[in-house]
Amino acid sequence: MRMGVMRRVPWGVFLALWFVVPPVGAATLERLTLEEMAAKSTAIIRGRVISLRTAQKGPLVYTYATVQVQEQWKGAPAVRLEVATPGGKLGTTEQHFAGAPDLSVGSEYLLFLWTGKNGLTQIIGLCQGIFDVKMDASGQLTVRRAAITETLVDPATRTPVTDDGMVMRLSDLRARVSRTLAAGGAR
Amino acid sequence: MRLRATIAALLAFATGASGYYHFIHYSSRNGPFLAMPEKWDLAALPDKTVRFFISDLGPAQLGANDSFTGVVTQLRAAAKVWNNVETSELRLAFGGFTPPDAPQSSSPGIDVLFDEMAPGIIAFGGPTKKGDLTGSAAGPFVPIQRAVVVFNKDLTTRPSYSDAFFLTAVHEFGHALGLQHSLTSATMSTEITRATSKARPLAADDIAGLSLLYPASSYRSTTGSISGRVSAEGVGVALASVVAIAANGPAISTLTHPDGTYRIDGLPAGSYYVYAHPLPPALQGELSPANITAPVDASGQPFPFGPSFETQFYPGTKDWRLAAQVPVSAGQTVEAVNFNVQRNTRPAIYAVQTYSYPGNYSVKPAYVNFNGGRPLLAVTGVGLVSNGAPAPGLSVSVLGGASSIAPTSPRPFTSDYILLDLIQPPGSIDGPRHLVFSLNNDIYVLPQGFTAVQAPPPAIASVTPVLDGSGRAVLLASGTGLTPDTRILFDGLPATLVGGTAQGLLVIPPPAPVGYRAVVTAINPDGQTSMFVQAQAPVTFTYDSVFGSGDPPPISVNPNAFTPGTESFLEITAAGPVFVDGATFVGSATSDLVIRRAWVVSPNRILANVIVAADAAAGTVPVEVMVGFRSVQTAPVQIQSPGVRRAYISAQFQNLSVPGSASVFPGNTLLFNVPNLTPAQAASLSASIGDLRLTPIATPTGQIQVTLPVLPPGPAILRFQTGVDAMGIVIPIDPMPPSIVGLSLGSSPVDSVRGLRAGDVVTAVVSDLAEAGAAIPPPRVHVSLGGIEQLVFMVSPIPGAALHQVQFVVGNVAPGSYTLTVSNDARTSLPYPVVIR
Repeated sequence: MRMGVMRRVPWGVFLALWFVVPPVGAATLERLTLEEMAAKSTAIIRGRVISLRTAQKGPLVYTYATVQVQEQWKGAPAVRLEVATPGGKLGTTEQHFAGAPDLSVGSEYLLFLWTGKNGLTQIIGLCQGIFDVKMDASGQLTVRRAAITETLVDPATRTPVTDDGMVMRLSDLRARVSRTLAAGGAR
Repeated sequence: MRLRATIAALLAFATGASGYYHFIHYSSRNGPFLAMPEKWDLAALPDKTVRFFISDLGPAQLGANDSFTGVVTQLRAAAKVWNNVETSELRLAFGGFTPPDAPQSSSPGIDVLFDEMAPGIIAFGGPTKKGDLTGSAAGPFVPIQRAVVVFNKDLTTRPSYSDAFFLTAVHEFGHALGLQHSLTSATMSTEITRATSKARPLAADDIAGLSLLYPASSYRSTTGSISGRVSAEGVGVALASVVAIAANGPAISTLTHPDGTYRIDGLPAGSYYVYAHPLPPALQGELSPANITAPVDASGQPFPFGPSFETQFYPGTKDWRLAAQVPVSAGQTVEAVNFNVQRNTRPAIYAVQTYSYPGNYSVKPAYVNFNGGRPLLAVTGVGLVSNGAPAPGLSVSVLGGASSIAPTSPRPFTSDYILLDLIQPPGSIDGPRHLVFSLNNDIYVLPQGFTAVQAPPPAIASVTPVLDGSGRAVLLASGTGLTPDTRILFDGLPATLVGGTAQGLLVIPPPAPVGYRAVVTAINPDGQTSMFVQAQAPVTFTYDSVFGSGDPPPISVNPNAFTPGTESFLEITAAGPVFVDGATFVGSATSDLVIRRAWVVSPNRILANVIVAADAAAGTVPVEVMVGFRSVQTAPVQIQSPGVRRAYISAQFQNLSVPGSASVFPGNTLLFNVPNLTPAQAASLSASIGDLRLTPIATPTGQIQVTLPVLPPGPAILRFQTGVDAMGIVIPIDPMPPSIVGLSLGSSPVDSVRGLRAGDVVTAVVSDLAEAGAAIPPPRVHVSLGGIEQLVFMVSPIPGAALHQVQFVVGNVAPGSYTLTVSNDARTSLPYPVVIR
């Protein structure tokens, strides 16, 4: 259980510290692990943004990105999905919220998505659930996201891996998410 | 081109000051760089107050013991934190509840919403509507016209009574007021390093951030500045953080301009270490370092963040023991505090978080009780831990040395955490302790890594009904760590402390309906709250028929129609007693109709001043009344379509009898602006206050002057009548203030020829300082000579009159003409002229 600022860890129970997952700022966010994002998302896709539009929702401007799905790891199969992020430019009104990602047309992303009761599909954890997808020098697709403070352990070597941003092969991430979903994370 | 011309004109009267970090615009990509922040335009806000409106579609999911009413009271309490910053002119106040179908208002205001958000998002906020660059005497700025604070509709994991929700609300309101993140453990820091608590929700950095945007008149003259440049190999480092930090005291920071120059303003007089550090790499959930929005140029293009470098103290050392302490005086700037830094690829350590153990669980912010508590910290952060042990070569110290780290520390704890054992030398003062981490020839400074205290957090064991000595039903809050200075909160509202016993504190809870359940929290002045040890099972109190009330009576509002672009008053009448002075809120659903101030005249009558925006949308607006946790039936009023420009009395009047005073005393002469009043109307104007007729005088400038008769203290309705047009406003009449009748030295009156001199023992005879014959302890009386406190050593009543003799010693005050005031609690005398020879 996360307690925000007043986080509590039973004294002497070291393992419990793993549950002390700090929130992140701007926006006040709750930091999620990859496994939590996989479990809590309603869809996980790799896709390319093909168009953007903006619309008013109450006092907020939202940017809606239409994503052409290239690969789907979780959720009801879809060819295209519309993903909403807070902020954007609508007429003379321009809103920006720190931590809210700007998706750009033509770019490819891996997205952990969540659709609520209101039908709006959003990215998990504002920008936590978005990974840039690029091809590295060896022709492998990689995913990248900002650093995390929690220690990540390489499952093969059991040694800590770098936290200078999360960069990993798409295939490795796919396997990790697949393990999580198979272990019950899809519930 | 036009923008450039505007900027050039505005630069002409700009002060060039900066400090803290706001949402910044620069006029060009080349220096000199004048920071133009985004901020609210005080000239466009009624009473310099921005009001926030809460969507009445509250959270959909709440935690145990939580309620939407509780959420509202916590939001109001969080806003009050910013409202109470005395060194800022901006005020922040609750406006009312917004129905879901309400049209978007274009008047200045903050919308507070609860929306469905994806997992991992708790809240966000910031400006949503801005105007064109404008200026004031303080310099050019981009006006914020509307802002938003959005919370997740699901508050099950962050209930409103938790300190975390409260501080999140304070933080997001800060964004809405124009503040960005800082890295000095303040409320405007991200939750990674934030070290504020519900008991001390603002750090010095937060106060400086707000006060620099909206400075009160004396702010700049009572604080000092440090300026300089951060460069690497001669090239200025953009967006480096520079922090002035006092050992065991406050930390105030700023970011460098694109050319590496900086200026920290708002520093209280004192001595400061100064250090420069790079912004940390962006963490998960951040698109930029600490999610700071980079400054932009006139075309909206952002400036790049500067390179990483090794942190250093001034002058050029990584050992704080070798660092200089920079003395800062009020009104002065210490210049050329420069840094020549060494670039690196990334900081060796960053994003450090500290936890203490006041009970069975770890708590952040860390408060370490050196009087019987556990003197240790669990610490985590990037770079600190390697293979389950402190990183090789890691060392930690406490800046200034008021506390120290035990030689056995740091020591291993878990795979992510290390432990620090702490030592507090005898005689050390309590307060913030700043930690300095050293690793691989780099250092990391964590302001307020912990706070040293001498007591455990308060804890409430029970809240039970009892009768006090007079037979009145009150509540006994019992527990541990409760002192006469403890504040007891019921959700977000304070209880009234009426006494104490050996068993605990006697309080009267805020008004609530029968059945309302509130979470009870204790807040101590040392910064600790009962939520440090009771967050998972807080004590609650459910109102019964003794402490709660039944259905409120219906209310009516008169008048019930208002014209856009005018000011007026309204009267709210209830069919039965319901209103409680000090616990009653009056608002509306929109910033188009603002309740400026309301007075509870009696338990069934409220008077209020209102202002209707010039572009207010025509329609029905509910006037909302809350008494404590009790919602009173709303009554609709009509905003009419704009029509004939009607004359109205502006509540912004001048007191000609006491220039500059916001108070009104019986017999004072007041000067009113009456917009839209024609000369013909002015000539036929009649006036009254209460039932008493006044003699209005029309001035050549079109203003109306009236002299008040002797009136009892309290709100009174001032009315002007001209033909069939009537207008009115509520004027609060204050009780007569204390008045200095005369000064004497021994038996000789003080005259302007002899004047006063340093060392004189002076007797001041003061009227209305207290009830006739009342004894006043000298520490409660304050004598101010030109703003400088004087030593009061005796206060004695003069028999038979409401007069007191106050004896004080004149301190070292430079020769000149001054004003003297005498205060007793909140009652301050009118100024009395004196000459110091």
